[in-house]
Amino acid sequence: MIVAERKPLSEIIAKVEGYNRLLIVGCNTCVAVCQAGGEKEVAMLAAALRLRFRDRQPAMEIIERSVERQCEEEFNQVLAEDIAHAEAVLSMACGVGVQTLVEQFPDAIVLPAVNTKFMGRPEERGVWSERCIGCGNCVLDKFGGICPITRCAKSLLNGPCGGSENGRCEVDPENLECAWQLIYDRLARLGQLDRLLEIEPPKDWSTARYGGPRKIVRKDMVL
Amino acid sequence: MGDHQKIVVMACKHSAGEALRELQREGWALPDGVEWVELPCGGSLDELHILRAFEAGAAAVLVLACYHGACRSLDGSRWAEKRVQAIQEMLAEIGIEQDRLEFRNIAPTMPADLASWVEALHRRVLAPAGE
Amino acid sequence: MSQATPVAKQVLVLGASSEAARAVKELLALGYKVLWVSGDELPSNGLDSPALAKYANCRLYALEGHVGRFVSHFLHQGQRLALSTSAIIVATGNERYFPAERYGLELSSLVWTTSQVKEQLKKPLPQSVLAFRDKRILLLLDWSGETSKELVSESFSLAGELCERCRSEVYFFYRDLTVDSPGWEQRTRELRDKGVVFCRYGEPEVTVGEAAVSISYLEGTVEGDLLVLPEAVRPRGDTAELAEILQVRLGEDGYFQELNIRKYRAGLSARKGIFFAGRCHMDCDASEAESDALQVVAAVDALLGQGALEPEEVIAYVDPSKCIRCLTCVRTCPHAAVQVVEYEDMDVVAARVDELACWGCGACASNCPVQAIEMVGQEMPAWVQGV
Ligand code: SF4
Ligand code: SF4
Ligand code: SF4
Ligand code: SF4
Repeated sequence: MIVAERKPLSEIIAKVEGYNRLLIVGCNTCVAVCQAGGEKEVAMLAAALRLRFRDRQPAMEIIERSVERQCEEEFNQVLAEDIAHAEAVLSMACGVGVQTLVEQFPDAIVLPAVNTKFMGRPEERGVWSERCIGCGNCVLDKFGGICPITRCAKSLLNGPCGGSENGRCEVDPENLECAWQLIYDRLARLGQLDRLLEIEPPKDWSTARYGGPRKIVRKDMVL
Repeated sequence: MGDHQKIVVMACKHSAGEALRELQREGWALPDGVEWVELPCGGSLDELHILRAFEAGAAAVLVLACYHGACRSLDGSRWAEKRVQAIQEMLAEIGIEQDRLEFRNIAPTMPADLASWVEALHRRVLAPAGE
Repeated sequence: MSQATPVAKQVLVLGASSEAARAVKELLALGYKVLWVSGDELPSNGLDSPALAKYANCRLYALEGHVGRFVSHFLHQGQRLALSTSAIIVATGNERYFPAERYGLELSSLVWTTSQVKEQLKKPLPQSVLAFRDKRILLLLDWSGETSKELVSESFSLAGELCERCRSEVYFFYRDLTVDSPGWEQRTRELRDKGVVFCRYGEPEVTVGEAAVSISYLEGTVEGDLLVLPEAVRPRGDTAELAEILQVRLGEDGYFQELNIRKYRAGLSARKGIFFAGRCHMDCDASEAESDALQVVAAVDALLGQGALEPEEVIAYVDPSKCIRCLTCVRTCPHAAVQVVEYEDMDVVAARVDELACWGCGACASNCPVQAIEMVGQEMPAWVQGV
């Protein structure tokens, strides 16, 4: 899922200061699961902002809403009236959700309230970590199911750099495991170490972000 | 800062609640303007509720939970402390003094401490305004 | 909503320890139906009753349900076995090992463990006794670390037996004999009367020679024919796995962690209906383990004695139509009372709190990212809903 984190309150406060009628819209899917922008986070942010501006005249009016998935226009239709009423919309969805609102409500001022971080998974309660950067051509099968593009700090495809020590990555030994150690251990476990003898040719990055924004068209689903 | 005339105490019933009842048996009463909200456990302390307490006019919020390790639900008091810290950070950004939110560990056998904490907080945040 | 749910007076006892046997016996006496299961052999100690079913060599691989309706799944001689009980007593005991590294000594004909001595004494006469007859035996406790209560207690018994049955000369070396366990002071006095010599050491020097062993300490050097070292205990190798299946916690020491709280009885796990008895959760000798088992049975009886269970005054309730199945509550609940399940009647998958297993602590509700959990029975001021 998409993992995000609420922006610092001070940054949000600076963004919304100039408005008197604010609509905060959460998303009850990815960002709710990672405790960044679901209904509860909307309520928390609204309460914090009301406290911040409680002595201001006129008082800041804050409307709280949350939708099922903000990246789908159909789910956002219920917001139409509130968006028309509000001077600005603070979206707590990921960047996809923010832009969906922008495309769907072209006159609205929509501000992001979270920083969209990565595609990842919860390792344990309260800890999320990145697993895939969406390179567009998945090669997990070649690396024992561990993505060197995402999990190696240098996206190396032919073995570790010289900075792999005790299974940790030199870029941030405290927090990062060396992906190549993980790959080696997994292949050893599967009895497939010989796979490492194959040279991986340079990756064609055109399927990734470097080929420009991507789009999928499923022919059998469009007329 | 408007009329922030109350103190909200959010208290675990197993420790602080017992201590309060002990005090009440001895004839002590919560000072005027202190609202006592009893929680089933420190773990049920909701960050949103702390913010809402301030919104509802609390001049200060005191959170009381068991000693870590004595919590009936293992982690409850540790969660409570963590959440208080998180809200203190938010308060700093909102412009409310962090010392308006206090966390303390308490045991049922500490009624005297309970009384002194509540009275001290009351003197600090309510008394001047009330005079 | 707080209606009593009838439950069967049926209890699963896990483990082959002596405390497990004690719990089984007590439960039977109280009229419970007992399912006694162990991963190893079960002792055959005359505990036979129509109310008792025994299953040896079973491996627990899954646990479903909650207090009052646990279903434990075992593998038993290649067959699957599902047992339904209202409560579970874990009495798997601990594991012994010889901490060769810690002691810095290898076992040999001159260096024995307490267990080896015990085994030898169990052999038929005269073999058993002759091995120690008229020998000087140095029993060394607390050597590089503290000896567990269980083994101190066993060492006492051995010292006595060696004196009386084998006419051995026993020197009992110790550093810090904490005689806090009931009866220990009495036992040391009796041993002294039998002729056991107690020597307290600071930093002893242990020498294992060709034909003799010696211990030098502050007051001199004692030579002996045999050095006896107590083994050490540790959590059984399967403790962590068992904890995961039972969804209960381990303490930092690796033993099962009980809720040790004023006004609650000993042996309570964080999970309702699961109890720990004896050496699987504390350092104690066999007799203390058995009295612990009795206390645990009393706690089980306090729970199930009425044949019905009632929910706590405050419990959590999930609104399945709001739940986004994020699993936060499942990961948060310290009492393992929430699961994500299919609601058959509603055709939704959502978190569900078992109302009998819930302690009402509210940790789930305060963490839910979509406020789908309500604490039923909990009074809160109106302002928590927002002003
Ligand atoms: S907007 Fe879509 S992608 Fe973004 S968090 Fe919500 S559901 Fe996920
Ligand atoms: S190889 Fe590409 S698609 Fe596959 S996990 Fe890695 S980044 Fe994602
Ligand atoms: S925390 Fe809330 S949303 Fe998440 S699974 Fe539990 S009830 Fe559902
Ligand atoms: S209130 Fe929630 S967290 Fe606490 S025991 Fe019940 S289900 Fe578990």
